[in-house]
Amino acid sequence: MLFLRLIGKLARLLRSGESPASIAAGFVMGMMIGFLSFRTLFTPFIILLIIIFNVNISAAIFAAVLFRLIAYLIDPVLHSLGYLLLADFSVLRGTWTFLYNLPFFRHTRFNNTVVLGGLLIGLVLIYPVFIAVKRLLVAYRDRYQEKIRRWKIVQLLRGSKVFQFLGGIRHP
Amino acid sequence: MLRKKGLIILGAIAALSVAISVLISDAWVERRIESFGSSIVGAKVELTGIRFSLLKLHVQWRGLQVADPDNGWFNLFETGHCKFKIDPAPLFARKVIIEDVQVQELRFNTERKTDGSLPARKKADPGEPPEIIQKMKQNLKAELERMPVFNSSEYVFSIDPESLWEKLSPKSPERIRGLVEGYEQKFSRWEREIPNLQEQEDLEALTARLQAIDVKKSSTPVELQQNLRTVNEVSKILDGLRNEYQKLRTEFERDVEDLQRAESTIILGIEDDLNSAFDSVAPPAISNRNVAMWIFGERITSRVEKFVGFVGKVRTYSEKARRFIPRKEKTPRLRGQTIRFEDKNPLPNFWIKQIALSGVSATGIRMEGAIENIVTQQDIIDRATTLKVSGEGKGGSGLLFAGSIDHRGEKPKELFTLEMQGFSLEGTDFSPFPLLPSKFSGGEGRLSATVAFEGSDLRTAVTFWGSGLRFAPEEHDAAVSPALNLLRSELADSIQDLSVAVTVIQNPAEFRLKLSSSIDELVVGRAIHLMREEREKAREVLEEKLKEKTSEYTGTLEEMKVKRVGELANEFEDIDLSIKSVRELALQKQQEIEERARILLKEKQDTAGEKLRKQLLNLGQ
Repeated sequence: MLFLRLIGKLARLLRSGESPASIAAGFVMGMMIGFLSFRTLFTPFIILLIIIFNVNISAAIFAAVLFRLIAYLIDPVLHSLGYLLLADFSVLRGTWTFLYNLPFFRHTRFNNTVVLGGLLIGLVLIYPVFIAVKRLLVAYRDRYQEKIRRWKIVQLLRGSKVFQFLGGIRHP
Repeated sequence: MLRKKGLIILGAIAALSVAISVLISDAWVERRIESFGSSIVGAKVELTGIRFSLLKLHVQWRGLQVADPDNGWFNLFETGHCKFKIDPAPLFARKVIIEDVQVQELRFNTERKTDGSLPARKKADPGEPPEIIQKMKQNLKAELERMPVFNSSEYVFSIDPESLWEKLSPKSPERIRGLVEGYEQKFSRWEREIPNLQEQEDLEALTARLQAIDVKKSSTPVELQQNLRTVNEVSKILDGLRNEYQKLRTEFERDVEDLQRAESTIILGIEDDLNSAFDSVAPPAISNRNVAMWIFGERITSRVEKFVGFVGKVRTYSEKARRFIPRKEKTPRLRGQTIRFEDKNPLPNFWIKQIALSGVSATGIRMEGAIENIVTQQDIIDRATTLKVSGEGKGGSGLLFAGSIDHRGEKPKELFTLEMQGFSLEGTDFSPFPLLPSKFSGGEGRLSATVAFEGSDLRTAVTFWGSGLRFAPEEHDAAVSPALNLLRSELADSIQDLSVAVTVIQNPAEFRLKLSSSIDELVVGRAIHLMREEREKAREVLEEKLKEKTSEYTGTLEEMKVKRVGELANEFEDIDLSIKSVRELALQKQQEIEERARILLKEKQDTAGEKLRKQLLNLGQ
């Protein structure tokens, strides 16, 4: 149900009049939440940003769920990357020790291998994902939106009562 | 760019959070303390009447119960009113510093209304205990496995001779019968041979030859010479006969001696049968060491193991707190591994500066004391954890418990001493050993204990003295033999004083558990005496039966010894006498011949002198 709702919301989002930049920003913020965990202070901070700034919340939720799944799958990579940075790279130890002694950073749980691994991957992906989502949205609206609307499966879904019940797809 | 609605929602959420945290902070703190405490103890930790002031960071409660992880229906301890204050500033650095804890009405080993055990999965896993603790536990386990197991059925304190007799297939009657037959053959031979000995006839012939010599009739030296030769010949033959006779007599006497020894052979045969009868009820080894282990071993090792477990837990947490960069661990997905870095803020993560205690000990002594510096990283504050509790009770009873846990140096050190005196032993468990009563009903105890860990070395010395001891009367156990029940009552009556000394030493070279008590010898002595007495009784019955079974043969042997051997000996005596008389006769004849020779010589001399005198006279005329 939830998955279908999300699909519905995503479809509505793609067709909505919201700016691609706002959707892409929501998406990357959701991605960061997905890669991090709720036990770190980074997450409430990002949520705060989502609430305060005019970014798309649905895109953020969708991305958070999507990237949480991805984080689950690539957890060994995140763990290894985090451990490499925290324990194996002795040159960084001074930096970590400095951050560790700052009360705010200690609560971010940056010294957790999965948190740091996720944060690093998230940060690396922010710009490429933002650009990619924005471009994909523009391309979708320009070239594929009408074609997809004519797909039989889409018409079938749009006509079904279940889909209507879950919220349907409103026209802009 | 900014979302107004979002800002409003955010403000509302913040206000709601503050309100909720104020309202439910007590329950939250209670849950946190209970969950943290339970994870450390491994059993339920329960708080009642907790009050938490968020602004002042004051915590107080009306009662705390810490369940015993080994027996969930009892508390390790419980407290009455307790209060403390948390230093607020270090909390921002996730450090909990508690200045002063007041604990009142501390009581130990109290009964619980509900089970305080935790489901196995909820127990905290502090990780692998340090190697030394693991080794110590292994050694104690091995010691426990080596410990003799007392099986009362093995210690047969009552023996039924009839059942032993039924199981026994005695070999002694057959052996004695064989013996008797052997002697029968031997003495029958003697009885056949002695009357028919050639010696008697020969002696008679020799006597006749000697008697035939008539010395008086011998008038010439030649005749005398002939007679003397005859006497010498007879003597020579007599010597030969005497030698042969002597040989036979020696042989006979050897057989008689053999017969005399038959009695001891019979005794040995019966002894062998008795021994084989008692093989099935051979008493197992009962020694002072065994008894000491039986009486106190299991309890001592389990206490030491429990204490070692406690030290192990302290060391594990201490090592965990000290570890700088941990090894990479395999963690559950999305949990990660937390790596700690050097803390520039010279405060430990957790530090209770002082706990002031007051309460009642398990033995009813009112006590007061303090625990100082319960801390996760001792090297940061450069102070060891110390503990000192003392108290005095009624009738001169007293307690002093002191300890220090010092994990600052290379080698962690833990030292605990406990001195207790004048405490009542009424209702205290004594020993699970079935030969001894299980509970004291009265008496006074004194205890001195020292436990010192240093790195991988452990030295423990515990001494207990009990005086004026009385034991709770025990119901006689129907499953145990009446003799064993009797022994237990006897021992209970005879033990008035008791001392127990335990030493446990572990270092890289050795592990030694030494245990002795003043009643070891008494228990061993009484048990052995009882077993011996019972054995003797059964033995007498069996011996009587065996004697009865062999009486026919022993009678024959006795008759052989008294009658037949006597008759044969008389016959030998007769021969002896005959030899002696022949010898005497020969001597007599020899003396007579010599006398006759002297007379004849004198006569010849006289005749020759007369003849010479006459010739000389004739010459003169």
